[in-house]
Amino acid sequence: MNPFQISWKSLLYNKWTFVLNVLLVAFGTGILTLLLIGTTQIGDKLRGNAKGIDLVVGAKGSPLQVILSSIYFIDFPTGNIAMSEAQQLAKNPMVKRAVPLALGDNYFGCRIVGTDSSFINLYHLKIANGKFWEKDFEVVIGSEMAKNRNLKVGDTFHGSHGLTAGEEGAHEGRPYVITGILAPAGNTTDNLILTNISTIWNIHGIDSEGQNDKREITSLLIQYKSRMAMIILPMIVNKTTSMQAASPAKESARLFSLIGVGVETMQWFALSLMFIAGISVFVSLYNSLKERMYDLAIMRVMGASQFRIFLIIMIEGLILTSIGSIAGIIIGHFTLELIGHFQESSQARLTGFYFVTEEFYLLTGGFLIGILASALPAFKAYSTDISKTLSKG
Amino acid sequence: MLKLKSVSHSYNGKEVLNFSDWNIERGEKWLLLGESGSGKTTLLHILTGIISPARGKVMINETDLYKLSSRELDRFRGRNIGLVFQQPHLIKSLTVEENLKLAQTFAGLQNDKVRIEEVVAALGIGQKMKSYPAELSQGQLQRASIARAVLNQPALLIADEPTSSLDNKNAKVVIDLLLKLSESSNSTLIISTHDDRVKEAFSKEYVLK
Repeated sequence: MNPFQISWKSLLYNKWTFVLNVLLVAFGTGILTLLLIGTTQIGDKLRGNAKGIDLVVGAKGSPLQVILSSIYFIDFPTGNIAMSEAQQLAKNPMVKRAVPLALGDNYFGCRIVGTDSSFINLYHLKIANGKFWEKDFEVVIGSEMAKNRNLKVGDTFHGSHGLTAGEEGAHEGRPYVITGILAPAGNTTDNLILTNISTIWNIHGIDSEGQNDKREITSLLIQYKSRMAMIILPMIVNKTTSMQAASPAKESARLFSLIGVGVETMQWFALSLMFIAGISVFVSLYNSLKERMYDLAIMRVMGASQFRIFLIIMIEGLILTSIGSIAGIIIGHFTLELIGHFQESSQARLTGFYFVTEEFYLLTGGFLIGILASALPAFKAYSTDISKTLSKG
Repeated sequence: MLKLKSVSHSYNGKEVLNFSDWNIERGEKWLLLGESGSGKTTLLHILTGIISPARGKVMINETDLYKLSSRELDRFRGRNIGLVFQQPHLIKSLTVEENLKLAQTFAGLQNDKVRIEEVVAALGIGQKMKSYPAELSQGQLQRASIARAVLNQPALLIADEPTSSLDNKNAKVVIDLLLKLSESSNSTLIISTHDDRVKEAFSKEYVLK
């Protein structure tokens, strides 16, 4: 029988104390894991989707809303901007690339985006199956959407009004034809339906040839040519046009700081849970010593060294917190997967199958709590006077 | 085999107990007599290296107990000395068999299932191997704790008032077992007692005053 077996059996002897302590540690670690992999994923998604986009130009309103609707496809757009005005801005020499976006409809919550080939280049999109759209009503769909809705090249469907599923009635008339399915890109494009802008105009009854002034788009994604543009271009847009410029970097930082307050609160909550767990492990071990002193003295009589007794108590604490932190990490991943599963917006879906190296710090943290919590009880067991313990009976 | 030389012990620096010298030859059976409070348990603890005396030395088979390091002393005790306590006590979280395995492990010996089965059979608790201490009767517990004491065939078997909590019948059984088992493993036996039921079986006595 090695010290590990002895510790293990002793823990099982008080199984409810064992369960309580493991649960406490697991909950603390679980929440921390959830926050850790959740916020890292959100951060990654925010950065990944905004990659290469320096400025978003949309209708006046909340800049955060402009960013959310045009980059992350989660909020509603602030309105429309005139195509002519957008085209004029796109011609500005400080603009390297300008990607027009026209939103308005969805298919089961996946947004139908009217754009042009510059969008494909911006996100480096590749076709996995079929080909890119060429004519009106031809669409290319994201990989996630194809998987979730079980759609293939050649399938047709009708879009619905609005930007979220089941908002308004479906469009009658001409259906969309899927000409291609995108390769997974790991960003929002996995859940989009891409087509040309004139399709969007067409479906909403706007003639793409005549009536020049009625042609509108939702926003323009802009890539700068030089660093100078960073300062000047937003100013030009905001001062001289009826449009507004929003910086993805600035707005996602703002968004993150908004989420950050909640995350921080949860973090403190989880840390205090861990602290309580540590205290609980300590108290349990310390209390169990009282009734186990005689057991430990008998072990000494049987030939166990002081160090071995020390080890047995230490291992008990370490088993408790190690099982707790491993269980917690599993719980954290499982919970996030569950949250992702019930998430409404498919664009920002979170997954539990996401691992970060910081989780090792959580494990190490659990291990350290085990050491701290059991050190004192272990030392007390180590330094017990066996003769006195035995005489007391 | 066992030599006690000018040993004295003091509690908290006062109340000095002086023990007269004691020589025991291999295989002898001794009684340690004395009223309660006369220091029987203290002397037994000194003999087994559980408590170090203020002065004097204890030799077991040419080994000076208190010249050993703490680690060596623990190992020496586990291998050479078997102790039976007044209150039988096994480790609660382990079965009888595991308690016995533990005695082998702590003495630095390989786990030997055959030896364990032999001893529990000799003590008539073979069917209780997988039971936890809480499931045993007082008599069975005492037998299990004797099994633990004799398991490693110790050179010295010491029992501290082993019969005080037992009825006449069980007391006789326990004394007989201790005599028989110490005989079969050629152990030297010391029993401390103030129980008259025990005295008739022994010829050698060391009396504390």
